[in-house]
Amino acid sequence: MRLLCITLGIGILIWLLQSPPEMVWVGFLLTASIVGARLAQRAKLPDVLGIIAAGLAIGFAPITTADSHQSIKPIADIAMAWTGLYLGTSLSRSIFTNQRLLTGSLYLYAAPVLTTFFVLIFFDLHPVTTLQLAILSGVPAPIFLDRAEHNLRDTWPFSLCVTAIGLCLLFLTGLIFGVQFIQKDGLGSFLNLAADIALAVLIGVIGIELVHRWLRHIHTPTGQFTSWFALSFLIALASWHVWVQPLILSWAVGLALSLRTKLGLRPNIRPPKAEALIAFALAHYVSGLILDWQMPSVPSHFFPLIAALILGKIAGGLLCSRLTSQPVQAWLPLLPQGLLAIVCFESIAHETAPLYFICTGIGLHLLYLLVNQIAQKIKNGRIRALARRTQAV
Amino acid sequence: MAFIFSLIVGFGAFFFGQKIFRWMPPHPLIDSLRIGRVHYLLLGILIGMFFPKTNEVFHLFEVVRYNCIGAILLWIGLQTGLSTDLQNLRDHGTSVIYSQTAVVLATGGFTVLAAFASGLILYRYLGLLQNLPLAIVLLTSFALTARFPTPFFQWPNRPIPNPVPVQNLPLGNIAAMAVLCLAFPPLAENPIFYLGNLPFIGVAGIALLMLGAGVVGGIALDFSFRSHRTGARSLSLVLGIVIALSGLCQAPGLPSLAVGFLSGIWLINTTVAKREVVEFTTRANDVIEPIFFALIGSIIGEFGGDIFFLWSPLFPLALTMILVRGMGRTIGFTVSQTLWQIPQTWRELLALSWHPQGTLSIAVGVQAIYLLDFQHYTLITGLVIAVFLSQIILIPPANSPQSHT
Repeated sequence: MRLLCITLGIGILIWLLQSPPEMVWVGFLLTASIVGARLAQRAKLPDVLGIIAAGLAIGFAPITTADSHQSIKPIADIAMAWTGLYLGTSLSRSIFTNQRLLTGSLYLYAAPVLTTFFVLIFFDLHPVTTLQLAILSGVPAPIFLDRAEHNLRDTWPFSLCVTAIGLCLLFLTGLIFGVQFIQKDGLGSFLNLAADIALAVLIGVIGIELVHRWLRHIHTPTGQFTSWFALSFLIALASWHVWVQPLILSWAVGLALSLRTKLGLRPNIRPPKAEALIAFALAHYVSGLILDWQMPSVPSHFFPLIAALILGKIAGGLLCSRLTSQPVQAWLPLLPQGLLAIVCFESIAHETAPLYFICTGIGLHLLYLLVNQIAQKIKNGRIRALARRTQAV
Repeated sequence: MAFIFSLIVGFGAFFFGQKIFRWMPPHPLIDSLRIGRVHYLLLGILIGMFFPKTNEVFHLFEVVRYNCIGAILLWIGLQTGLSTDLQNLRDHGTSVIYSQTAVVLATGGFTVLAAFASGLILYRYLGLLQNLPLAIVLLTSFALTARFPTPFFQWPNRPIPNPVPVQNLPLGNIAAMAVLCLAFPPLAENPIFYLGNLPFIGVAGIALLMLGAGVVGGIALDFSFRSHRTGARSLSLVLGIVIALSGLCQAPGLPSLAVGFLSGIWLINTTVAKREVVEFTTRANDVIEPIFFALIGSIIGEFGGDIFFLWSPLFPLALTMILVRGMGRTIGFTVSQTLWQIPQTWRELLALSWHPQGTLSIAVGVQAIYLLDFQHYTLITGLVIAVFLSQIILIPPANSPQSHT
């Protein structure tokens, strides 16, 4: 109650100030998202739903304007970069080399991709867009998962692996079609692009090697936190420079850092799950989606895409269950889509991104919770019936 | 691409420096600077040098830097406020308090006189455009500050010196903040602020606004610590409140340091989780200070594109500040030695008089960017240099046998 009062107090302050400074907004988003998470926890819902609800409420609030939202974007980008680093470094070589995990991930990924692709080709869409939308449909939401809770099963590594497959494929598609597009302009432009990419790769490799060596020398938790924060800041700076979403760039950097070592980064070296930064990034992004929402007419392919995505994910999960002996609870949390998917989706179909997030990020999350509750009830009922039978015997 | 390349070069240089530090234990002079976090300042300067103002990314960086420094200033003020625990002050002997008060009065008086005498220099050579009285207040606050807690470095093959009791009481820092809090409302450049339809006009209005912001901040922080005493969520809430409060300070142009100080005093003297609060903020300080120094360094390093500071008056200013402060402190401690026998030996007197300055001193200097108008930042750069010069004035310890291990 006290925390809610503090948040409302900051909100009233914003309302009273004619042009509130950026930091008041940052503080408001930060406290609102944390209070949202706490309220959700009290209602026995996942924290992430509370954070999203706070972002939605701020987005719909009359005090929020596009200008104020845009003014804090540089700070939100640093938080986004942290989120990407956290996700990227969580993946390790051992996950890729685990045959069972890889097979399960392939089933989980391929089923929704194929389903959506075969549904979307019946609509009047550009082939590249069709392919990219299909590739995106398989990406889950690792940031929505509570790592501690899902580590018992293979859910967390599954979500990381499936996300990595999806994003790598998306990058490859972009590269191939981008190169084809550039080739039309002539050999000169193509060579320029190739030189730029080669230089970026070279700088990236040197940078990652430096960071890797640096991290090996840092032993204190505060030193590690500072180093990761500095790296997030640098990635955010670089992302403004090269016009790439900081989340994607930092995810790639995190993945490269993790794959640089044989067994992945040790848990005490990885960036901690800084709830404040992740909650702030999520709430800022969600409020931005709401502010950008202009209620256009929903394209005809949109709802079939969502339906195909759900069916595909369920089919993939069932296949994974059957062929790799995974319980339903292991793949069910992979139904919703999160930040990575929506950030990529926004670059493909900007107009429908808010609606897409509401359907796949919030709707599917609620669906998963509902199904999980039902599954839990059935399981409890079975246990009770078994106990009764045992007592009777 | 050149910018990213320069970032990698800067990062590589920093990494190489750390490696050298591991191979060779630094000399106490260098170690004193390391404890003062000069290496982060150098890293910032390196980044700033490679970051031309013409770069389109610079505007975004500027937004982040300006706001982050504002929030960190509030945090540093909060830290100083947390050291103002009245119960702790009462536990110290009256002679220690009197001794420190004498030092504060002597240093403050000496600095005010020196600053008044050099008013024209401030306008003509140090880039000040207007509001000399506020500049003098900031210079006085700067001179009163000292590095706290006392740095720990050891001379090679020398005994560990016993700490003087005066060193454990940061009365100079508290006095510096008190001077800023009391002197700002009458000297504020823009003493009119509207919060909705509620006007805050004149000295009383600005003082009320500052006090209100400080107390409300303290109460909010106390609430957040009561809800979550430790852990990540507590950190998130505290950060959120500090950031929002720093934004609130920016709107009417209040000094974030002073507001943070008032919040800190309220928090430490009212909270039930005193120990947790102090431990938590000290831990967070280890992360916040490097970021602060790197950002300040990036401001200083920007002289490549524009006239940021003038070289000629820079070192004379820094040396003058050190001398004025040192002389004021020497007079104060001499009075204290005569009247209350604190400090007892001449060596202690020397060490206390030339006690180095620290993060709060730099924060007071940087606060001037937010409160005053400058043509160029020679004054601020000079103050930063003065802080680091004060850290290399080390008094060699006596050759007495080691008293404890």
